[in-house]
Amino acid sequence: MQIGILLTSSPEHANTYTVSQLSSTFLKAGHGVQIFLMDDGVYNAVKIPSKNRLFSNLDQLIAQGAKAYLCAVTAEARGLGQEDFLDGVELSSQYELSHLVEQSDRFLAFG
Amino acid sequence: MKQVVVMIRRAPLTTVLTGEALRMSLGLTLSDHQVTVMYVEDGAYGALDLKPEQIGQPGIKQSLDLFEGMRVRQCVEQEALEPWVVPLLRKDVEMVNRQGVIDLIQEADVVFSF
Repeated sequence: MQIGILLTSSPEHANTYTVSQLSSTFLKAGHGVQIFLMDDGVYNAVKIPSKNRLFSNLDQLIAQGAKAYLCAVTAEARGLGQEDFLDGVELSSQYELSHLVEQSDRFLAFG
Repeated sequence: MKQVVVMIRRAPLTTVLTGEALRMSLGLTLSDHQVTVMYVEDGAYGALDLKPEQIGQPGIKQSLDLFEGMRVRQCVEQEALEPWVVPLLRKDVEMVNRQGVIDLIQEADVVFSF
């Protein structure tokens, strides 16, 4: 099953933890997971090489096979560009989100 | 094509999230989804005749102006409007009661909440 997820909350929000745990479980069960980050959700994809980094295991989810996209408009509005994001995260658009919704057997929104 | 409901729960001019929800609603029409924007709770203010550009939020108006052409349906929760004596609804917004809101959510394939 293809699972689509929209996350618009920043790393300190409970939604991020929920999405992380859900996605990891879906992947372990053999489902495909595609995560779209928008608004403050794009902060979950920022490279932060610090042990004090807020909880976000997006890099681990990508390593497990999840695909991650983010809204380039909201990233640019926050002063963020491709170089700021984890490897494997694709700058994308609302057009791509509409495709994710179409392709997903289940789509979950967290915001 | 999927039935998509975008619920707006917050007052529109106190946050950029309403503008973002409306922009997303437009984007969702690009894959021919049937999009319904649902103004509920404090979000019902979003169904009024707003002038967001006067406080520096032009993004809301830009999206609203394109809704008719992209066949985005807009509904507002009737009960959320009741505290106001003269609700100045936009002409392109339908009023539905709370049961109607529930029905639309139940019929939807995907629900976004802002």
